[in-house]
Amino acid sequence: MSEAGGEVAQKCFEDLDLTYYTKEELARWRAQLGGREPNHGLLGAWYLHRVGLGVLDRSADLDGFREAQGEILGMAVRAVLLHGAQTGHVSADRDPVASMLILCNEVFEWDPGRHLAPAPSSIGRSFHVMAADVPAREPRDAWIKIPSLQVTAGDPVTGELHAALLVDPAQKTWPEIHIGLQAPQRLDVPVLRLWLLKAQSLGRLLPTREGLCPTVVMRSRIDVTLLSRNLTTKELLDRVAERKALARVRPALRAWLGMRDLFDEVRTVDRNEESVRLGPLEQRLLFDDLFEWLKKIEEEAWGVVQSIDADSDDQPTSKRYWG
Amino acid sequence: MEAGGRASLALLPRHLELQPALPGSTRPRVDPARRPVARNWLALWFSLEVLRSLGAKASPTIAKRCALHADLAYVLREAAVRVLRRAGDYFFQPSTYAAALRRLVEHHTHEIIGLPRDYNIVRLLEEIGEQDGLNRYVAAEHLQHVLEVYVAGHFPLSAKIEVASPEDEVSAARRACRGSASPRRSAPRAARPIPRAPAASRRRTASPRSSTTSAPAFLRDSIRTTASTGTIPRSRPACRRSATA
Repeated sequence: MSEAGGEVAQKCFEDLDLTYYTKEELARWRAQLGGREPNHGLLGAWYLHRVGLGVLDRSADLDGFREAQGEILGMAVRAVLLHGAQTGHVSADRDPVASMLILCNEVFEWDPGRHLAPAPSSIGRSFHVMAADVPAREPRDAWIKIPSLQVTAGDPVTGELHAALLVDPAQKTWPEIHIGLQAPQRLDVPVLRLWLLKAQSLGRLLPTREGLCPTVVMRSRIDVTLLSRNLTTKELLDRVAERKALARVRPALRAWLGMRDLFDEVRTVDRNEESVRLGPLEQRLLFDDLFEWLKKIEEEAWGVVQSIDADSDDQPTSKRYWG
Repeated sequence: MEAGGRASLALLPRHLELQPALPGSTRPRVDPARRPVARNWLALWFSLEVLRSLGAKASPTIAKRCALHADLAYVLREAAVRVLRRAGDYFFQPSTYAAALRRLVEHHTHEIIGLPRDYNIVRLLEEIGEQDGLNRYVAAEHLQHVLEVYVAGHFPLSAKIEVASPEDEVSAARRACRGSASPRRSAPRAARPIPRAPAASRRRTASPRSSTTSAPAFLRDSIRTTASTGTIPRSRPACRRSATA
């Protein structure tokens, strides 16, 4: 299966040729887009490329229609590829659609591994037929806000709505998007995973000269599992970064965790909240193989928690999702 | 439908303004359980876009027009139920909702964005939502995600970007000092004093007008400064370029 998957990935790369990327980019992406099997970014890009070529072939070339559509197709295919590549910087100047897709993909996230897929029904496989098996998807965020966004109703006859994004020239980058996570006990993954995953994904986006580059501020309650061990997510990550198994990413992790203005926490009697700012990162702070390292970091985080429990007289309250 | 459509056209923008789930302050003003949800807000905005476009072009068949109206009404109803929290004997059906939203997206791509029909968005979305035996994930969730990203990705393109000019900062500060900040537009600025820009960013924004020149192409047309225009431009020239995103 792995060999067959690799062949499919190779075929996709051959079909896409070097129309949508450079040799250097291909060398960087190849392992993630189509190592053992093509990921959905590569397959999606290939599908769009094939469909798009068919449309262009069938279209009459009036008023530069083909050229314009070809340009749009190129941006779209490249965006789908880039969102699946998970490596290297993406410039909003050069790849505006890809930047937007990466941002939306992180803010309105979907984790394919979250639920097990139901088997196709005996009477069909469309989502309509399988309706009874499709659960309502509970997002990991509780709220999303863009503080600098304002909307005002316009002419009621035409149903106009005016939206304006106010840019403060003093801001290095804009806009800011604030996300409040669900309570940690309702999340299916530890908060530290969401911090790292989104930090790495959004860290790839490079600001334009005007500073257009979203910063996501992610807030959450401090997990009681951590609080009971006198930890916050940041403190846990500080300890995790020192683990032997993470030697290769330690410099990147340490450098990121050392950016103190990115992290904030409020610990009072009735409120324990932490937040992290996720924005553009230098190349040296980006992981090469994000998902592999995320898995290891989660394992090491559980190791840290276990070592704290081993040193303590108290019994661990719960294992939760780690391990 | 027409009377209902006219009423919705009049009321929806007002609702979106008064219940800003996505825009505005992060400070919760209401009980979190009753706070409007950003996804729902975006679905309402998207429904408004589709509603406004109805009748602009002659639909090919009555059946297609009726199906679109029915799905638009369904998405609006679902969103309204969530806003009003009228649970009762109500059941949320994710697949029916996704199917309805799918038709709105199809209409949006072809009729509003102008993507050639040869792209066959219906078939593409159907394939995304089909639960193939090889999939190791819930395909319907993937479809929901794609629809969400489509809607969320188009919303910023409808927004005009206003770069505050130095005059705005001064006048906002003056209004804040006088305690007479005008409602709506200037209120958030006055509430939060604007820090002085570092030297680098002052250079960057020294000429507000120049900020439109090197913006990404898909945003270039929509970026204006408050100094240069005074009002928010209404046109939406950027959408066509990102049709396939």
